[in-house]
Amino acid sequence: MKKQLPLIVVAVTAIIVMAVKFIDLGDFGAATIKELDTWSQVTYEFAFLLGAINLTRLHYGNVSKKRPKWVYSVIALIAMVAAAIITLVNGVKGDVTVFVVENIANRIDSAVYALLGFYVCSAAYRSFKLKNVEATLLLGAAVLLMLAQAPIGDAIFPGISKVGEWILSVPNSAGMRGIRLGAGIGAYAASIRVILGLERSWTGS
Amino acid sequence: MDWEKLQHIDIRILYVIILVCLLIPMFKPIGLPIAISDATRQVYETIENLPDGSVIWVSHDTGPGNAPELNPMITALARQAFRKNCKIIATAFFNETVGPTLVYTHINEVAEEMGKEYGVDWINLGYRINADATMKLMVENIAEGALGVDWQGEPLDKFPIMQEVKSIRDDVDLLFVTTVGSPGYSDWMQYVAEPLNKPLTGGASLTMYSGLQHYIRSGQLKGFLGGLRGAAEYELLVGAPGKGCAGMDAQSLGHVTIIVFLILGNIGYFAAKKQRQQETY
Amino acid sequence: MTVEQLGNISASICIIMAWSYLWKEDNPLYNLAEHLLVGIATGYGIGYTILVQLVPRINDEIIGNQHYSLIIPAIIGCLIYCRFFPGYEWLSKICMGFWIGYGAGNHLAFNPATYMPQVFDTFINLTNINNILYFLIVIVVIWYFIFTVRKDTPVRSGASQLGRYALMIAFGSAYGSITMAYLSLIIGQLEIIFRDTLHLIK
Repeated sequence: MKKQLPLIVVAVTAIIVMAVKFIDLGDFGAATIKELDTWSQVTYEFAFLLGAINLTRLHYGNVSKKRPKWVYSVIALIAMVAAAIITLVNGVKGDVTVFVVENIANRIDSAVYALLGFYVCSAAYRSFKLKNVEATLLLGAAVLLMLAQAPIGDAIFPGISKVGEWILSVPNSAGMRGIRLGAGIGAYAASIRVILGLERSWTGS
Repeated sequence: MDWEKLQHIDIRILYVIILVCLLIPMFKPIGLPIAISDATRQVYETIENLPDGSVIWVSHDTGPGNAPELNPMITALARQAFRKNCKIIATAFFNETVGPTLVYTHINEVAEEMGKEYGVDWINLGYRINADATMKLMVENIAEGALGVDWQGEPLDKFPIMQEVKSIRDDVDLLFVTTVGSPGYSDWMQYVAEPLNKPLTGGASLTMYSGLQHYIRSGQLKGFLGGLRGAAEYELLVGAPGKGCAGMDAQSLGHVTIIVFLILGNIGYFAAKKQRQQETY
Repeated sequence: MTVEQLGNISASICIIMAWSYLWKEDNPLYNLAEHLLVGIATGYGIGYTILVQLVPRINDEIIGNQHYSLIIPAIIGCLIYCRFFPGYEWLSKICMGFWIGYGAGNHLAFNPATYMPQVFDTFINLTNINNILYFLIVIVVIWYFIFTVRKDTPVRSGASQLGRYALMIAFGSAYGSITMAYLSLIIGQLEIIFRDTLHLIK
């Protein structure tokens, strides 16, 4: 029963969602789907501590066992508690909350994400080699599009932005559509497998 | 020249070069003209063709990483919308630390300049957990989906705009979504735009822009802005060049630098290969 | 010094701390920045959820509107925490099952409306070279992904190869766009340091 119950929940929930969408059940159907949507919101709201608990377990474990760099775990835990208290006391749009979130957390997050820009540059020098026809096509399209997207492209090669637009709207769009059509069928198949209980990897079995 | 050694140059030298190349145009702007793409023009015209006083739903579904690309789009959109006396309902479903504050800041900046009042001409509903369920609820009843409060927890019934705009189905005329992933344009298309036949437009980070071109072609997206370049083009159309246009010169030199890296890397690769072959023989 | 100036200085310091990774991987500044980010983001998320979601939900919806049926999903949501108690992990799968069932059901119910227009739009009037090229590329790309048919004839393998080439152009376009995206992220950070904090650029 322990293994079957979650699969039953998946099937029942999915069937209700689909039944209400595909069968006209009038006001009963509208009320049912509204209730189910609200239930979905409520489950996520009450599960909000999952990330915090995982984080606490991980970092507390680092501190108690004095693993390497355990000092940073202390900082993470203090930052988490402090940020939660500041937000609850000062409010979501409070001055202190906004200062901490905007000028520390968001700045670090965006700076870490911007690191990818540097890796793209190093990859351009070190990794992208014209070893075969496919690589040549890939790099050719990339170079054309980079020139087309930046204003300097039109300054050096007038009209290249239109070439870039054509590459995006014809070969790129067609290729992406082919991928999307195939992936879409795959996604439907995966959803059906999950609903029928054929896909059980998420249960851990 | 030792091509082999050049192939394994210290990577930090490349980082310094790209930083310098991005900084030079920031100190000395070149002012290159920006051509407007058809996709951007379609976004502008879709909004311009709305009757004055329409209601535009703006969802700034961005994270902190991609915010610099997408923020100028929100500012330009607010300017065009308020010029037409349109009402704006704002949400931000991707990230709670960034989205609600950014969408508030960027719309408020324009609202204050153009004499528009929060709660009367626009409102920010902020972030809600489980975007799919929230969108579906807001289709029928916005207050229910938003739990009856705005992004700061203020009750919605005290804001005049929420007396006029009750549901997306009946009261919203256009969806403008800035997107970096999921939840994003695909969810808005799936749960709102397609079922209700509402026009959907907006902007995407360039990391995903090439992957949504087929939706523009099929008409499911009424044009879409592409990253900072799209934001710059849109700013020019709206008549208010801002942060989008400011970054274009640096982009240009950055692109040229990367193309030079690509060329040098490949020259080095083939030269080193030839050198090795000659040494073998 | 105003709060805004202090904020800009703090932002610039945080950017430099994060970018120190480029100079030396796994250095103290970067580790500090990383752990601060994780802690603050999690803590803010807790505060935001409680203030903007849970309090209105419990006070206004469940108690105020007497919508007591919402106690059931509240319990289902709380079941996710059972994963931390040995022997009771299976209870958390009930909550996950609800989420997965809801998501899968929504996908099958709503996604065809966005998928089918893509199929219809592929069958376009072959009246100009762009349309012909578009149609052919979609067909060869789909053909490339059909792995259950043997591609042992020149036509079949040739079409598959064309599909590969078309995909390379698509991925090249994606790479070009992504490069531009990441450069604009770097520009954004440089603007914070050199314009907002140091006032060296306009």
